[in-house]
Order: sequence, then structure tokens, then C-alpha cells
Amino acid sequence: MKDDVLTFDVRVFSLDTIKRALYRFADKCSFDIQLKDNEITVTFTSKVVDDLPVKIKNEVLDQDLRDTLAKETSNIRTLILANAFSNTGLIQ
Amino acid sequence: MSLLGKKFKLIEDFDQSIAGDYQLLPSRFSAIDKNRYVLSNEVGEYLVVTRLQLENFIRKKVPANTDFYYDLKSKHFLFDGDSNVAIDLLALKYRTKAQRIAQFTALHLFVVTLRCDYTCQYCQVSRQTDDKHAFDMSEETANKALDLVFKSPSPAIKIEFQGGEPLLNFSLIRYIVNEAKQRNLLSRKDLQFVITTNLSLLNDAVLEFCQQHDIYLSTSLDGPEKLHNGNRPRPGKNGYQLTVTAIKKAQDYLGRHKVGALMTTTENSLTQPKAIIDTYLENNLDSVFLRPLSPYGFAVKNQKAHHYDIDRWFEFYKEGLDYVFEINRQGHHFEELYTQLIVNKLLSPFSLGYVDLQSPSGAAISAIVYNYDGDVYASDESRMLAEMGDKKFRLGNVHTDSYPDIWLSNTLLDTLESTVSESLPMCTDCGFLPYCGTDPVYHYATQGDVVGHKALSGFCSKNMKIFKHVIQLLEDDTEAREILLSWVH
Amino acid sequence: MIRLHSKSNTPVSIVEHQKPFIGKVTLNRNLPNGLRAQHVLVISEGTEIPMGFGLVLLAHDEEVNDCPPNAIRLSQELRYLKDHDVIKFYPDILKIDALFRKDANANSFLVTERCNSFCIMCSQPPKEIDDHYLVDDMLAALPLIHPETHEIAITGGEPTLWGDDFIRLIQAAKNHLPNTGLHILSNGRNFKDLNLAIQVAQVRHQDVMIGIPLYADYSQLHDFIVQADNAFDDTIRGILNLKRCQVPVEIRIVIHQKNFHRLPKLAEFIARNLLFVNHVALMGLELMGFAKSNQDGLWVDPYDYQNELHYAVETLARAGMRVSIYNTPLCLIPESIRCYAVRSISDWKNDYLDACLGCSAKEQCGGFFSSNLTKVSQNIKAFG
Repeated sequence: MKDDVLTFDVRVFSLDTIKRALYRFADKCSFDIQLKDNEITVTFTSKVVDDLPVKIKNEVLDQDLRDTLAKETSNIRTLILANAFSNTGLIQ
Repeated sequence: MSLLGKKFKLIEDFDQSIAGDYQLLPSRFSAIDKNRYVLSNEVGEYLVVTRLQLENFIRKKVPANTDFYYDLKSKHFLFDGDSNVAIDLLALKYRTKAQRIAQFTALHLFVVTLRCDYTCQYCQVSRQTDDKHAFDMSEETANKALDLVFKSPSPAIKIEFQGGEPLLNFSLIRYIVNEAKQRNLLSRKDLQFVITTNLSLLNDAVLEFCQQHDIYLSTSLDGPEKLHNGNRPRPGKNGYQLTVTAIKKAQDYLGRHKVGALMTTTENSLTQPKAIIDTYLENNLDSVFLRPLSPYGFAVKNQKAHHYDIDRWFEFYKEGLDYVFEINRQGHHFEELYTQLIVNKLLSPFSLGYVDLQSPSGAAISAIVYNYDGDVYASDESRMLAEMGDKKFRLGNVHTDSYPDIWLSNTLLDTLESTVSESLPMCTDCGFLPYCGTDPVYHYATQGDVVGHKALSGFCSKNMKIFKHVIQLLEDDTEAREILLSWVH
Repeated sequence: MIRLHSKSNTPVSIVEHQKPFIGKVTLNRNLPNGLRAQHVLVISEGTEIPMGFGLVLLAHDEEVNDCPPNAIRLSQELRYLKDHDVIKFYPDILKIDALFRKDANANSFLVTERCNSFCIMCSQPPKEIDDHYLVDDMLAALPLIHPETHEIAITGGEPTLWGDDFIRLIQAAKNHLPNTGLHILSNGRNFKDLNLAIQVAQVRHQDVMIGIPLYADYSQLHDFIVQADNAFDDTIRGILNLKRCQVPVEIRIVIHQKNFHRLPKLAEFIARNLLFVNHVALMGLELMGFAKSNQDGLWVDPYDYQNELHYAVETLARAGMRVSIYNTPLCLIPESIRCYAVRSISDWKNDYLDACLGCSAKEQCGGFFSSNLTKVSQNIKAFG
């Protein structure tokens, strides 16, 4: 059986993004990840079923959006929580 | 054209933001089907969006002056230069959601005996014996437990009698109810009692006591006679008959709203959701709880099997829910309780009290179990795990440990802290996070780890399927939406 | 429609009052002497005029002789005045204002016409004048108001512009009428200053509620409707401050062409962000003042927004909030939410159409504003 391989450019998607996306598929298959020059190579080490590679690519895109969202909002999240737990005597 | 007099300025004159320039507020998203995502904010408000809308939103490309822009603004997914109250409002809403935690332990389970007259196939705890002393809770233990109950800051306390079969130790139930009410003269809590019982020992004395003290009865009704008796054998093989006769008697004596029934789902249940629901209708019950297969017992050894069982269970659930909608369409108000819980979670500004779907975990901070021997457990599942040989979530004993010993035990605090959803892989950026929970005992039992890998988790898989299903119904099916909204309290 | 003011009064004897006179109406010619100076005697028949009253109003057209001073022929429009009403008399122009009517379904005191907003549908367009006399009038009238009065209101303009005097009014209402509710209409913006909210709370008025309008779920639209930058933010902060001080708050939403399509979203916004307010009133448009001059850009047939209204009411009610529908005829409200409709229009400006004759729901229905009779829904239909 030929192993399926996916490649990503690390200048476009960070290694963390790829890992987080792959994490979600642990029930479907297992992988090897390698980083060489600017290329991240994901090698499936188990049988590839359905349209898994397509699903993974879409998940990488989603995870990339998530990372942008998290980066942009982490400061303001801290601000909201700090405000929430300061004592202002108002509960709905 | 605004069609207003000359001295009135146009709407554009009051926009102090730079058109199209906005900042993102904390939010998470998950796919609900091939084309759509649910986007939820820090306090559980949500919008269903397409992938393109989602991408535009995050890349700050949503055009100003569109309804979508204003929807995002008013639901606090973005803010712009024209207003700065969003932070204050979000903080207030967050505080409202967090309030439940401060109210602390409201549900106190008393296992008054392990003795039982049934031998249900899925039970982990009951004992068959006539030796009353071996497995009954004593008054001394009950008193110590009550000391702990009334230390809870919660303004509402629910004491639930469990077992085995609690009515086999009815004299202790009498004792505890009277003692609790006596102590409550000082504490002045909103005190409620529930007995979970198979009802086989229900008699006039019990009914009279329940009526006198406003006690709720919760029983097990797994479905039609064959299914029920197959799951829940007892000597005489007449469990179903006894149960339905007793349900009717209790409903007549105490009122229908004082009697409820739950089902436990087994392999045999999966093929007959409609028949199960029909049994509930026949017995004048107004709701059914289509519970998932329990992972405790058989599935712990076979974690993958349990994970795939979720798919089969989900078909069972959908068929049951469709039938429930049909019943409502025909004018009869009937609820599926887990769906009702999910709908309430999707729409409520408050945190709801359902112990198994909370983050931080409801273990000990929402509910606590006092076993017959005085051992204190973080949840009913913790007790089941102990019966199977693993006492990881035993927090102490009422005879030897104080309130701080128990509620501040390292086991508990470590578990609570390490399983807060916001810090867990996959959960941390899941769109369903505000509605979901964390279940350390489940993940410990099935994966050997309180956090667990959510991609392998039956808890996660089940909940995500239900969230997607319910959100789709609310979005796409006007009739179903009306029915679901009628279940919101 | 009932007129509350009239200049069509004529003198019957010498008017000795130099300044405006505020007094309580009585029909009792035999009132004890010690009380007469502060009272206004209204005579509907007879030509014998007793002495000693602060003012005598002749509610008939017969000639009288030997009339003591301060006797006035009352204009036809005001001849409804009766016991316990309170009036203000202007000796220079012979004008009479009815400040308080015991039988009215609502009594409100206009305390200023100045305002810091400029709402496009304002029924009381702002004027930049010094009208502090309105505060004095209310302070003078309060002691004369019947102690069993259910509720009085303070309106404007924007009452909080009076600062300390605004608090004085609330205090006086509490002092003189300890059993009467107080409803204050304010845009809420000045309550962004926590101190003002604290001052209101410190009066500890027995039953006060501040009615504050919120017209949209996002700032740009609300600010446009009230024609003031930062109004949305100010109002929200004001509401939060009032709730911090445990002062009851009502949110009022006037529905018109510019905001009806966002009404469902506004209801969702209120149900999630302002869950603690005591009441939400969804109100039909009153075609007076700017609402009348801007009607082409404002008027919408309530029948055309019934879906939005239905969604909004259901959303708020489901969240456990108290909701009412004001100023909208029952036949224009979807049946499932008619129970939220209230007969809200002040009696003096309340009317019905010919189409309403014989309607079986007329007693429950609030009817119309007198000013709205010329611009009416196409869908008015009597119930059988």
C-alpha cells in the first residue's frame, strides 16, 4: 500500500497549526511529521480511508483561522476576564 | 433617503468608526455541516455562518452597513470605534455565567443502602443480601453527612436518596428528611428531596410521607415490558408490571409532576426508540431522557467499541427525537430531556445545573455523594468506579474528614484544575465549548486520563453530534424550532 | 381628547393675584374658612359666590352679582374639573393649566423642555429656554395632590438636566406622597455618571422606576435615531449604573420605519445583556412633534411589523422578562401576543375610530392617539 503524503509550506502554515489540525484526526489515522527546509511533510502511517486528505487540508485551513482569531483576541480576553472578576457589585 | 427634516443628520454622520475597520472579540467556531459553522462568543451567544462569512469575519473583511456586520457587533463578536461598552457587557455576562460556581454544591446524594431486590444488568453497585447491617447507612453516618450538606453555601439544596434500592432503608430516609428539615429551620435553604427508586416497595406509608414532605420520586422505566424486564430482572420476573402499577399509584397520590422516570439505554434499546417512548406515553409521563450507553462496566475494557457505539446510539436518539416532535405536533407537550437541556444551554445567559455537562467539572462543586459507609465521592460515576475497584475519586470519609479536607483535597483540586475546557486541546477552540462540559471521571474510566484525547472520546463525539443536530434544527426546521423553544424555561 | 390648558377664561370680578396661583380644586362651597385660601372653588350652578377662596371658577354662563374678587368664568373645555384636581392660574393672561386630575389614568409633570438628545420622532421637541418655573410648579403642586394617587410621572425634555433639582423633585415626591409611585422618563445618558444614580438611590423613594429608551441593538443606529454621538454607550452605562444602585429600570422602545427590522435583534440583545431590567415596553409611534413632521420617514403600519413584534415579545418573555405592548390597537397585534397589550394612552389624548364602533374588544383595546387619527393603519378591523 502506498503511503499517502501531504505537504505544507511552513511559510504559509505554522507547524503548530498543522499539528493542531492533525490532532483532531487521531481516531481516523496516525502520522509522521517532518520539517525540512520550508516544507512540512505529513506521512500517514495507517490506512487512509474516505477522503481523509481533503478533510485534513480543510481542517488545516480552519485551524489557521483559529490561530489568527486566538492571537488577535487573547489580550482582550484577559481584559474581559479581569473586568468580570473585579468587584463591581453587579450580577444579572 | 432618510425622508427626515433638514435639521436632522443622516445615519452616516453618527458613525464614529472608520468604515470596515473593526476589532475581533474572543470567539470560537466549529463546523456543523458541510457548508456551515457555528460561531460562539465567550458567553455562549452564537451565529450560524458560512465558511466565507467566517473567513471574512476573521480577516476583517465584513463590509460595514450590512446586517451581518451589525449582527456580529450586537452579539459581541466584533467591536468598532463607534462604541466601547462591549467589554463591560461581556464582563457582566461572563460574571453571570460564572455565578453558578460561587453557589457551589447544590446536589447531595445519600446512598442509604446497597441492598436491592433487582439484578439489573448494567448496575455496578447493588448487593444482594439480607444482612441489613452490612450495607445500610447508619444514623451516625447520616448525621455526619448532613453536617457537610449544611456547610454548602448554595441557597438551594437537593437531597437525593440513592442505592441499591433506597426504600429498603426507608426508616433512614424518614430520619434524614426530618433531621434535614430541623436543621433547615436555621439555615433556611430551599430544600428539596428526591428518592430514586424502583418503586417495588412503594406503599401507603411511603406515599404519605412523600406527600407530607413534598418529596419527588424518580424511577426507572426502560421501555416496553420485554425490554424493561430483560434489562432489569427481579425475582418473580414482574418488574415492569410492578413499576407501571406503582407509577400510576404514585401519580394519583402525589400528582403527576411529582413522579418522573428515566431509562437506561442498552443494546436492546437501540432498535426500539418509538416503543420506549410509547411506553412513557401510556404511563402518563411527560418526558423521556434518551440516555447514552454507559461506559462503565463493559465498555471500559473496550474503549474503541464504545466510541463507535456512539454512531448507533445517535441514530436511536434521532429517531426518538423525531417521534417526540411528532407527538408535540399533534398537540401533546412532551419533552426529550437531554435535548431540552442542550436547547436551554444554547439560549440561556446562565449556567445550568446539569452536573455531567459543566466546566469546571460538576464533580464535588455541583454534586457530591455520601456512600452508605461514609465514604465521600466526587460524583455518582466516581462511586461506580470505586465499586469496580478504582477509588481514585474517593475524597474522604464523613467520619474522619472535615469539609475543607474533602472539598479542598488534592485529588479534587488537581482534577478540577486540569480539566477546565478552556485549557484542553481541541476543547480550547471548539465552537461548542460554552455549551459543553468536561467529564474527568468518564475520561479517566475510558482512557485512563482525566483529560483524555477528545478525538477518541465518546463523550465528545456524542455531544458534538447532538449540538450539530439541535443547532441545525433551530436554524432550518421552523416547526421543530417552535417545539424546542417551548421547552425553554 | 381632553384639553389640559385653556386661555379662554374671562374675568367676572377683579383679579387680585399678582403671580401665578396653584391651588386644589373643590366643589364644596362650605369648605371650612381656614382652608379656603389654598383652594379653587368650582361652581357649576348658583349665583351666590362664597368668600375667602383663593380662586372661584364659574362653570356656568349665568350672570352673578356681588362677586368677591378672583372670580373667573371658566372656559367650556375645562369644565370637567372636579374635587382634588390641581390647577395653575396665570393672572396676566387668564390661562388655566390642569396640573393634576384625580381621575386621570396618568398624571405627568413636564419639568423641562430642554434636552441633550434630538430624537427624530420626539413628540415633545426640545427648546433651549430657561423653564425652571416648571420645577417650581411641580414642587408647589405636590403637597396638593391627593395622597391616594396611584402614580405620577416626571417627563421632559430631559429631567436629569436639572441636576440637584432633579433629585429635589424625587425627594419632594417621596415627602409629600409616600404612597404614590413615581415614573421618571429619561434618556438615561446622564446616569453614566455613577454619582447621579447614587443620589437617586439615596432618596430611597418607595416606588420609583426610570423609563429609558433604547432604539437599536448597535450604536450607529441608536445614535442616529436620537441624533447624538455616544448616546448608545451613555445610555447603556446609565442603565448599568442604575442597576448597580438597585434603582428599577424600564426600557422603552418606540417602533418605526428606521428600526422595526432590527427589533428581533434588539430583543435578543436586551434578553442577553440587560436581563435585569424590570420591564420592557414596545411602543407604537405617536404622531406629534418631530414624529409628525418626519412621518414620511418614520410611519409604518404596525400590521407590517407584526412578525418582528411577535419574535421580540416571545424572545423577551421566554427570558423571563416583563413585557408590554403600548399604543397599538389589538387588531394589529398577532393573536398569540395580544395578552401583552396594555391600555397605555393617557386618557386626555386617547380616541377611537368610527371603525371601532361595535368592536367587541373595545374595552380592552388601547385605541389611538388623538394625533394619529388622520394617519391610520390600513388594517384596522373591528372584532365581531
